[in-house]
Amino acid sequence: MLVLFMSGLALCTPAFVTAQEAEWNRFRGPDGTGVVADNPNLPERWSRTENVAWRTEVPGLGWSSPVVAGGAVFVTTVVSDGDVEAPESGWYRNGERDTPQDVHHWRVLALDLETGAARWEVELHTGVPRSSHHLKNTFASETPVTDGERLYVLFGNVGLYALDVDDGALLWSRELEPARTRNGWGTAASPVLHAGRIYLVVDTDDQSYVTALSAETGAEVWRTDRDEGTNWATPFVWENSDRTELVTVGTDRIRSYDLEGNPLWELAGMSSIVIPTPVAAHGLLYLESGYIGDFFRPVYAIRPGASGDISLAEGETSNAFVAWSLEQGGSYHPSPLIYGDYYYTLLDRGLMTCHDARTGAEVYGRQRVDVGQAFTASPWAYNGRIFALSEQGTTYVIEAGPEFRVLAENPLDEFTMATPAILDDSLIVRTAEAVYRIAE
Amino acid sequence: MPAVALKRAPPITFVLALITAAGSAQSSSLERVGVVPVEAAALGVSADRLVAAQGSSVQVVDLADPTTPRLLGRHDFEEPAFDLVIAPDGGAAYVANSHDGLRRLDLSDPSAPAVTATSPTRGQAVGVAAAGPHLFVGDNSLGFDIVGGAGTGELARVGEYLGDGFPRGIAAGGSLVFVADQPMGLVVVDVSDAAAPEAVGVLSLGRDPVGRVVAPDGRSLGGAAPAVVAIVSGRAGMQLVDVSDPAAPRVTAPVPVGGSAAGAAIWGERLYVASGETLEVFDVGDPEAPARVASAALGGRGGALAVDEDHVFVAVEGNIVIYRR
Repeated sequence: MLVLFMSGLALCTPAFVTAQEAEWNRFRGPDGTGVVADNPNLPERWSRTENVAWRTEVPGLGWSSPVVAGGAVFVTTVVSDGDVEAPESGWYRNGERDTPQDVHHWRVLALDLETGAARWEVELHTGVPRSSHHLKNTFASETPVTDGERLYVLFGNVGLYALDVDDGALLWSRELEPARTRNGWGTAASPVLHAGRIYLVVDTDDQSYVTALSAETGAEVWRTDRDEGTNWATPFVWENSDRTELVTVGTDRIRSYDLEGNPLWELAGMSSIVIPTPVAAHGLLYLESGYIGDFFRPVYAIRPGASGDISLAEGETSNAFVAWSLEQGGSYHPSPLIYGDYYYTLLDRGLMTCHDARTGAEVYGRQRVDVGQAFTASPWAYNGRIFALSEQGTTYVIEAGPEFRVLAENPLDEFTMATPAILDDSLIVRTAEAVYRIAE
Repeated sequence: MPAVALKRAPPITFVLALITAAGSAQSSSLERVGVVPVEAAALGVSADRLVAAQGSSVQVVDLADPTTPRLLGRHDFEEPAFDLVIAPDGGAAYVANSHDGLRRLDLSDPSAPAVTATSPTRGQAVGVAAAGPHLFVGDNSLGFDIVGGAGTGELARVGEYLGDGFPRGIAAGGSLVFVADQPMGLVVVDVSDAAAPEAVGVLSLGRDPVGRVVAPDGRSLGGAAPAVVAIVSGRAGMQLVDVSDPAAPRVTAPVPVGGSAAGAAIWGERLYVASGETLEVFDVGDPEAPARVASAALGGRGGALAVDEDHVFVAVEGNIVIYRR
């Protein structure tokens, strides 16, 4: 590992930033919902010139979300020595690309939360990629996770790394053998951290497994093989009223495991491409998938305590453990948002639906956020507002509740597919070019 | 304003072909008369001009003597040319040019085709059809755009339709646009108000799995709304659909093709299908009972297909084979 840069700022973390109050430790925050408590200081309006505390350019490409700990914003990126084709918005044919032949650099950057200045930057791997990715994917799409002391960084098909959050020092690493992914589209499932273990789902066309590793040493605790092909969904540790379990989402099956890797329950019936991350609320676990080309784009709300196969029989929409379901309600990329009593789905083409989170009853059907905007980043919410960031870089502010209404548009005019982080009074937005701290 | 006549066979998943009132001899014979060594994933023919799109290239072939077709010119785009339609006089081709949108390719000097107008799409232009003054541009990220200016040198988006799935095929007639939507099925959209297109009918094809559907084709004549369209999906095969009531499209009968339909077009009461290594001709005058009336061995796997008054053009493994019909 090469430590590229270390700023003196690393030694003077602002005293008022504590790990507890300042951490946005994983994709969609500590509880994985993308919802934070109301705070009148959180921004609701911004642009490239309005309410921007800082903007720091980031080299390379990466759609991992920023995470925050110890007064630093961490982002992963992969920089090529050669030319890189810019991704296009929307959904399209011909997104497959050959494995690049140029040397690439797998890097992690720590930016000071207050100033945006680089605290440190480390290069964890250097070389010619051993696998390819879809034009809209990147080699740095997995969001890192942190416990406030260590930053755990997964680069699919390359390796898993534990870094000291203070200086980027490499604490341990595990190499991942490159594996074939469906159509060469690459990897995206992020690691999950829970109670001293890192959980990974590695679903590829060569081998698929779920594994638990020691967060302290990286040593494998257990590994369970899976009958799955390539998937891109991040697993979810569901702490429910009965137990804590690891839920994995796959094209063939949703499978839940206990924390020792033993199967608990499974559910068949997802679309052919699964991407959204599960969310828990109201005592239920919500899962969905919605490849645009599939007729079946399901949403499931699962009750705790299941065992065995809980798949719905033909014609069923619920059973003892499927509290409710929708046949055509899931989105392709954005994860669902549960905010208050409502289950919101942001569809990739700029439509939003709303259902009663407890019953699945439709509150409103497809409402148009905008035409011509594509959405991959997952929505987030605070202050009675839902925020939806388009690939074109505009965040739409939508009124939460049973009436759909777009209240405002906040353009950044930079392409993005990353879900922002929320911290104190700030929003951390990552685009293809830069990281922004948005603060009023 | 002149209408645009047309068209083509994009290399994707559904077939849409319109049966119209176009009158012509209803021959049941096929005679192979010529070959031109041009690859084609999409074809259009009009006024002695055959236009072939393959990859990011479009080539123009002179058909003054179909027994000795001559390559006239070529234009290379930066993005793939997925589909095209041709103006009735052969003076321009309208090309679905992927992320570069809809392009008007002027063919007045066929030795040097040139882009003279562009209508950007929201996402990736993958299909194009025409009716009257409008072009309809299938967009994977949207549904379709409605572009004004067909038959003129200018192009301008005048409306857009937000679809549910991917527009695998698109055809138009009268004030209706027919979208082969994966996965929703055949969607009939009323575009009489171009600024506010409205879906008026849907024929679900069921849960057809992704990646199992075959290449679409179609022919839009820009005339009156058709009474019947033909659709193809991988699992359901080729079927005729009665769209005389646009709000209630219904399958009238399956078309007994011998293999997977890779390209198809309808002229009058004849349906031409490239299926496997065979060119098949069906009489669809009675949509309830389509009957095969002729066939010919292609000598290779057939692909895109187009038809004009006298000939059928089929892409066959690096060549375009011409049949007198």
